[in-house]
Amino acid sequence: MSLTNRATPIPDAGPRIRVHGLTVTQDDPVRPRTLLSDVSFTVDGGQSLAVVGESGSGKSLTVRAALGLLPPGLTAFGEVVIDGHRVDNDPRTRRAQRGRVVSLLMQDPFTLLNPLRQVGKQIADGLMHSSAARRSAAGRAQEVARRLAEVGLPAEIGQRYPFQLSGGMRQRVGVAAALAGDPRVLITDEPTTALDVTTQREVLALIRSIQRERGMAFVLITHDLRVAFSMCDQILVLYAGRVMETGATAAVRERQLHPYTHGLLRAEPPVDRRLAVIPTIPGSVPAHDDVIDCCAFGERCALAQERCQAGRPVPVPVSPGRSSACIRVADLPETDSTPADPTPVAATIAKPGGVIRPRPALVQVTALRKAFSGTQHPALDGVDLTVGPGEAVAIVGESGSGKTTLARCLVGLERPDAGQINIGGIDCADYARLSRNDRIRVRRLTQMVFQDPYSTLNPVLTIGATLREALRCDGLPADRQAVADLLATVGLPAEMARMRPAGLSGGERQRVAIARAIAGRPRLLICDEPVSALDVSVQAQVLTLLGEVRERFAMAMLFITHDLAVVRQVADHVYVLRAGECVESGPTGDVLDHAHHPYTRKLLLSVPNPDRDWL
Amino acid sequence: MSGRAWALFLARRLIGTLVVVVILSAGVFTLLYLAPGSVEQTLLGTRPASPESIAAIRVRYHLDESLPMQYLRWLNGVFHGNFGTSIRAGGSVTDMIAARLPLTLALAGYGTLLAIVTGLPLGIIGALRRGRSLDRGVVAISIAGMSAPPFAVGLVLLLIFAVGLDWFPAYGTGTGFADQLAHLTLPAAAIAIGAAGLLVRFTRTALVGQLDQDYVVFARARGLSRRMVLGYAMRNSLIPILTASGLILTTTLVGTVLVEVAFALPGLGSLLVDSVTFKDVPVVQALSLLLTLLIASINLLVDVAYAVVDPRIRFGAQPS
Amino acid sequence: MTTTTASRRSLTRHLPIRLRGQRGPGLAVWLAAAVVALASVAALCASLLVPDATHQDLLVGITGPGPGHPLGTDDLGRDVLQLLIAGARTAVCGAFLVATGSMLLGNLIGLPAGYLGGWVDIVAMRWADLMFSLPSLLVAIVVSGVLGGGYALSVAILVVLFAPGDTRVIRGAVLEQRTRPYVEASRLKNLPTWRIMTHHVWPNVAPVAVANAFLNFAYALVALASLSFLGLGVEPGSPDWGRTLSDNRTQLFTNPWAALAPGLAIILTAAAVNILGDWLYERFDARGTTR
Repeated sequence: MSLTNRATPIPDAGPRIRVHGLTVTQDDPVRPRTLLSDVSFTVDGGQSLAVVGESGSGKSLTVRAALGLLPPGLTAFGEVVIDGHRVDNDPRTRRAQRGRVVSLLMQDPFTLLNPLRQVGKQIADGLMHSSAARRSAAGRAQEVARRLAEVGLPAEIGQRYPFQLSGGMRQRVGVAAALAGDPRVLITDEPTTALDVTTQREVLALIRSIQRERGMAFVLITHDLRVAFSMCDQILVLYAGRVMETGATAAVRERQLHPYTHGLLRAEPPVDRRLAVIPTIPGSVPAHDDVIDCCAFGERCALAQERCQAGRPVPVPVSPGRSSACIRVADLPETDSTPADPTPVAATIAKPGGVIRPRPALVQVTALRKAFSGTQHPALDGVDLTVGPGEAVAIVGESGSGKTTLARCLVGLERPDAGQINIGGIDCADYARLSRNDRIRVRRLTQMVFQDPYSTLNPVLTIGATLREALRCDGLPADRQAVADLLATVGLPAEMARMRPAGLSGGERQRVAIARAIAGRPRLLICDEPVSALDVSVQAQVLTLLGEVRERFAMAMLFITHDLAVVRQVADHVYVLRAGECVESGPTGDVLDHAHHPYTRKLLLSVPNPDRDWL
Repeated sequence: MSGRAWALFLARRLIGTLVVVVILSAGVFTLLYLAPGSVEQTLLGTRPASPESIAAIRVRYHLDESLPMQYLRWLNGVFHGNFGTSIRAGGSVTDMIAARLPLTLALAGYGTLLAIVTGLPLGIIGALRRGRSLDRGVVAISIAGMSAPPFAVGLVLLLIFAVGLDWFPAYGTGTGFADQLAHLTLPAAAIAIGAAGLLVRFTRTALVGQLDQDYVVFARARGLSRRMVLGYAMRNSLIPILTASGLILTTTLVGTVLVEVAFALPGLGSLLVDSVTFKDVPVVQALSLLLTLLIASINLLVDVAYAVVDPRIRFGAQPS
Repeated sequence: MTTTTASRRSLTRHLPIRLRGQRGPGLAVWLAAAVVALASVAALCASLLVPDATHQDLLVGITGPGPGHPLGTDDLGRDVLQLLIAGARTAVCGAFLVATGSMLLGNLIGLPAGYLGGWVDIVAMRWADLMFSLPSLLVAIVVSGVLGGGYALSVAILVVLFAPGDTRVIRGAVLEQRTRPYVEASRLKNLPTWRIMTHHVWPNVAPVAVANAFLNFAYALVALASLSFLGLGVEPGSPDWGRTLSDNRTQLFTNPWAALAPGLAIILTAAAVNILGDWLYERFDARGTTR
């Protein structure tokens, strides 16, 4: 399939991809819905655009629609011009263009490669049929080796199967495969979201350097404005299926012309200082069709007025190259996007080398070891940990660091192979050997909040039933009033008791999970990545709530996370874990400001940063 | 996978198979001797049961020995190719089976072939046209096929193609290849319908599942030809289809037994049914052993096929 | 790999529900429900509707469909329509018993096997593996034949042979639920194990068990009919779809309806139950049963 009918190539500067008035609808005979409406953008050769949005914003649908790869049941309208050809009504050209002219790199490196085929062959499958390299086996091998080298992998990786490679390596192979047909337009859909933070930075840097080398037009889909700023020239912010704001990166970084963009950027906590208050956006992302005749962000906007609800604002040009869908754009305060916090919280300004930790410790872990069968490295290889009463301690690490295993050992969901765990004076290295009374005591001392809000609640039980059971288990009266009080504690209305989890948003579910955990006023709350599955604008709410309940009930908190920025905001003391070993620990301020271990420094560097030179 | 690893893999599976065969044959053996109505009575048939004749029979058939002894004796005979003597027919069980085996093999093989050549393509077409009317037709056919007992299908086929249209002969096995083929077509089709229904279902479900996977979308997005993309998806679908092949095999075997009875064909299936109702112990034992061996060896083949298809199994990784 | 599964799920979480395969009951499902209802009514009320369906009238002998006998009579002069209605009793009730019996056994074994693991699980799964590799109907033929046949025996054997499949399905579903945070949260609340199993895990597994029971029902219907066809199920002469078909197949060319009617009844009912089971599976699958 060669591109014989291709028009004369357009000079490099012209628009490579132009999307105008893109709308995606769901063809349901009963209830047709619109998921995305009126999205337009243009990317020139060598230029880059970041499409930024949270889940449900329609950012993935946008690129799928632009490439004609929507799942069955969805229909796209609007004009799509790629490399000078209008393709939205021309499936033949579209198919011919894929790979050669435009290519897409998808999100999840663990699923995007054919599990049964050697990765080198998968790259070779995408090489141009007509190219000389494709014709002979030796030529192919040589070309594949060259492609692998381009993404920083040795040639022998080509012989491997995907399951033999790490996530980062798989995503590098994904880059090579996506580029095998030498496209002029590369679209990447959250290419690093599923990767560890340190790998994320490496892969992003790789993609950016290849894009610049090849002079491709580049579209990046991301939920992280900071990543967008460091990767792209242009920014397009989507919310609930509509465009909120567009503009050049420098200008948007300088000043956001839509309250949503502003809120989104501020909701990402900084790693270099602790904020007195993490700025939050209330509520959660609405569906496109629920906010058809008003400003999509109006419900959650601090600046909203009556006229914001009176009609649908469309993006209007504000200055050359900038547009905003906020009708109050002229009234927006001239704020700095990342205001320096004048009043840092006292607890974090720990003087290097000396913080007196509360004694006696609530939790004392010594030389904890745990290995899972079938794995080479132990998950925990002799970890010590102390949590004082009322203290907030963070354990930070990437996947495979053992951080979750440590938390699960503490609550008895895993049994350690060796080492001591002492919680509130009870030796609970082996929960099976605890007396009934001790077990009840320990479990009332320690509770846990889990990562995935979508499976943390029993789907068949109402919220009220879940909370009543929690109250009963903790030996408290479980009447309607108690449930309502508990819901109020986590900022939810009492009526929610009658609902089932399916009717709740992710953030609401996580609030209910927190309510369940704190029902019996535990003295230690273990949070296993409680916000990593939530949208950025919701993350800040949940972090704030956790801070509030901790203060209110004087709980100690053990916070498991991969995100040092979160550590900075929530923790007094931090332990950095790598491959089952603690490489560094100390007061949060000390460790983050004066990291000793190279790994801690690498983690610090990996936190996305809106500055141009992050990558 | 190296030759050594393959040898180890095969050895492990073979030993497992052997264990299953021994357990099952022992089970059948025990069952037959626990069955109501003593074996002596069956062996005597209508002859008068005098103490002497019973004693003679007990000695002749080694019934005076303990059950494990009898089992070992039988097993020893099996290793020497001697399955004993049929009680009902009086002849050598080995000869009886040898005489009927070709017909059953031909029938089951023909049926399987028909099932595969209809089931696989229909399943693929259904998956590629999923949600459209063609797909709904395919699903309907597969549900009907799965729901229909082979003997009932056989009757319907006989009525339509033998009586109504007179395309195929109604009964008998025929002589000569073409004639036999004609005679076996309707029974084989009756067998095939159930297995084909299952095969359509599994193929379609597996392929639909694969076509939704990220790697297929990615393959399309980076411009691989349709043929290549389908190849990716098909290869991955093979794993769930292989998993289902055991069920398809048993469906075919059961179908063969029922169809042989329905069409009055002198194969191993009708022999099994006759022997079971007559309590012809040696024949039932021999047939059970044969069946178990057949199923076990096909399961072994499937295991090998898994390893060939899936590198994760070949390299001993956990399939994710 | 917790981050990966979470992100993978988020790819589809925001897609509209219908894309995930949710469908209202279509025409086929309603028709299937009607067929099942009809068969159930016939099965439950056969003795009221057709008290003497087996009444023989050798003087009448074979007659084709006509007034008085909408489907004609068989060689013994029995009314084919009445036989058909009366035959539903053993055919449908037996299949129902097999499906519910094996579902009960499957729940009783699969729930603790999946949730508790350990030797309970190992024993249960080895047993299930062994039974699963056997052609259940052939085993039923051999065992039932050797033990002398009979309806109750056939039903009992099929329950024992079907249960491993149910056990597997339920164990698999339990395993999937067991590691979910909501179960672990219950453990952290010191909820007794049996209560977690019955109040938290089981309700989330039950829909799968029910859908599976429907598919088993269809298969049991065919299996029981097959046993009766081979003369191993119901008593000779009893009105049962499989048996009547077997009795009357010699008249296939002279009096096709006598054999065809029960055959079609089996196919229709089994197909209808299969359609319902498929639809249930799809519904529960789309609902995810877990969120």
